[in-house]
Amino acid sequence: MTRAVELKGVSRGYLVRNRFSDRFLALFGKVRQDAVYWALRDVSLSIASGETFGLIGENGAGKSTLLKIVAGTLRPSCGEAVIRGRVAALLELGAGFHPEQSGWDNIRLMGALAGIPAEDTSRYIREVAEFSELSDEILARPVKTYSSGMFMRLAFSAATNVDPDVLIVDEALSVGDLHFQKKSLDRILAFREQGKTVLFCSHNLYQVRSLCTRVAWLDRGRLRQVGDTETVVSAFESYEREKNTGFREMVPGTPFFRNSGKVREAPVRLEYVALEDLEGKVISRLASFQGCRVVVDIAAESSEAPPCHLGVVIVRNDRENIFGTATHFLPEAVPLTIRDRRRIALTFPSLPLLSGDYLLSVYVLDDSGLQVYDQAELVCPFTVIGQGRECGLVYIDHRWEL
Amino acid sequence: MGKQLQILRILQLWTHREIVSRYAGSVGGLLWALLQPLLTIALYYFVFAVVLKVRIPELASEEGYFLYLLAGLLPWLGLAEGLAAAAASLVANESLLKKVVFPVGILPLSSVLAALVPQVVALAVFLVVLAAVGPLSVQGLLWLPVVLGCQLAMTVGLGMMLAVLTFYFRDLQQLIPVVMQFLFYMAPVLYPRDFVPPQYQGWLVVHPFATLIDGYHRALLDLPWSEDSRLALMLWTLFLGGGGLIGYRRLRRSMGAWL
Repeated sequence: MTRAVELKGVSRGYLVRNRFSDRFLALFGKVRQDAVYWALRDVSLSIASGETFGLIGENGAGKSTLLKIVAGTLRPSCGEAVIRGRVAALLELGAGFHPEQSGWDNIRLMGALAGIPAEDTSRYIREVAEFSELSDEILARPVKTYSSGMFMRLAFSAATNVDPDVLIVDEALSVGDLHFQKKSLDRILAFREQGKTVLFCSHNLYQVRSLCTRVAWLDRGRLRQVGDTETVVSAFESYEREKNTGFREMVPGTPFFRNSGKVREAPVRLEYVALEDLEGKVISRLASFQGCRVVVDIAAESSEAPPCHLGVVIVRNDRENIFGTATHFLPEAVPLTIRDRRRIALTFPSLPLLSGDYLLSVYVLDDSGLQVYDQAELVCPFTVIGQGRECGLVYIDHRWEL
Repeated sequence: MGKQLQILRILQLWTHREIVSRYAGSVGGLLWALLQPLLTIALYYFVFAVVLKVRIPELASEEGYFLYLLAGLLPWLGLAEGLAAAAASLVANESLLKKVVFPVGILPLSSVLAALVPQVVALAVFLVVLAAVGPLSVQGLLWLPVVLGCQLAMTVGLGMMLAVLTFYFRDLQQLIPVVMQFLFYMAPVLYPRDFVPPQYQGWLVVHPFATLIDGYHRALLDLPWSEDSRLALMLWTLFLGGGGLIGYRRLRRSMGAWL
């Protein structure tokens, strides 16, 4: 397997202080740490040739800097970036165009910059003109007279007709009118089919899911996670959801234990909550449609503990309740009697949740189901990884009639 | 080899763009490339030949001063224009450099060449005029390619070096025109060399462009060129041309890495 792109410990800093001494040192490749903003820190990554690789992250995470380093317009401050083959970057379309020059002149220069050999130049120019669907008469005019749609069509055509080995796409899929958008997307898909390497960066996670085989997640300049698309994208989605909640610090797969220090004055108490697979092993990750059990231990304060009911809610990590059920919802509900300590389990034979991070909330209620004796809210974090390409929260049974 | 050809192609296309875009949108168009120096020459001629009545000892007439002025001023305009444009070239195209993979050196190089093209055309016309009326000597003409080569090497090396330095220190953009003006009046372009007091004449060798102008006077007007000045020109060419290129290559690497 050949590697098309290889980043070894790449960091990229920007000199943000403009003192003479800082600039003078930078001239010789040296910087003081406090004069630098680090856009990328120690990123090591290798992308196999033929892979469609996604890059996701919040704004300012360093995605653009990384793309520019792969494209070759920026150098890493430290580390090494090795790119094999010709790169075409759809970063800022039309960046090298001059408004006063004609379409033809601009194409010619773009071709030379992309390294099209002289003997292929006329073929390249013809192909660009053809793909852009601009007439010869229009191409002879200065590009400043073009509509923005025409300009983007020409820029996209000029950038993608260079037969690249590595294609870098930065949210460039919405170019021109609908007809041309379809054409450009088809072209990117065709690159993929031809076994070219595509590095794709987008905020549109649906597109990332549809196109990419592997994904890297950049977080404040550092590589946070690299792996198969579904795992990384859903982890990122979940991270985005729980932004303003306190769940980020919780460790998945830890059962809930009643902390002895915080004993409530309740006749019955929750002692233990855990999520297990059907074999009885405590788990933190499961696939959609995998079976699992919520295991709850309830303890009675005294021998005359009142009868009670148990409720369990599955909560997504943005505090959205997904599904809640309780023993008193059963048609012939009989309150539970607790003598000393009792283990109760709730089994989901096939959990239809799609990708996401979830938690459990467990409540012990009185026999009317109204008063809460004890509760363990938002415990036992777990991750579900979707198996198909369906998107959303839960899998809803469906049938297509075609 | 293919790579060098590619660079040359980009250089040619980029220089074309530079020349076209500079005059684009103006009614006069390329005519300005001719008109601007002509007006400058006319101004200097009026002030120095008509008002101040400066005469060149070897070419005693008023026309003689005119020829002298052209022989020095035409190269100087190309030189000053080229250096200023080269120094500003990276700053002016900063956003391009960050978005398009571009052989950086092309930018100052094409600035220098774009300024040199009108100069060479003007010199060619000037040679025709000289052949008709002036003291054109074949022996002197042999120096012309040498002197032109020296100018090219000097401006390319210095221009590339200044381009990177200006990218780091924008202040140079303000400083360079002033320094160039200073150097202009220190060089024997508007006045004959003999006007400089004898005790300072020896110092002219520390002025790289003065030695270059001496060369042009020798080549075009068959004026004497001192051994010292000739040697100084060679050394300056080596220093500014070679040193500039080496410095440029050394400093260019850090440019894309921190800014």
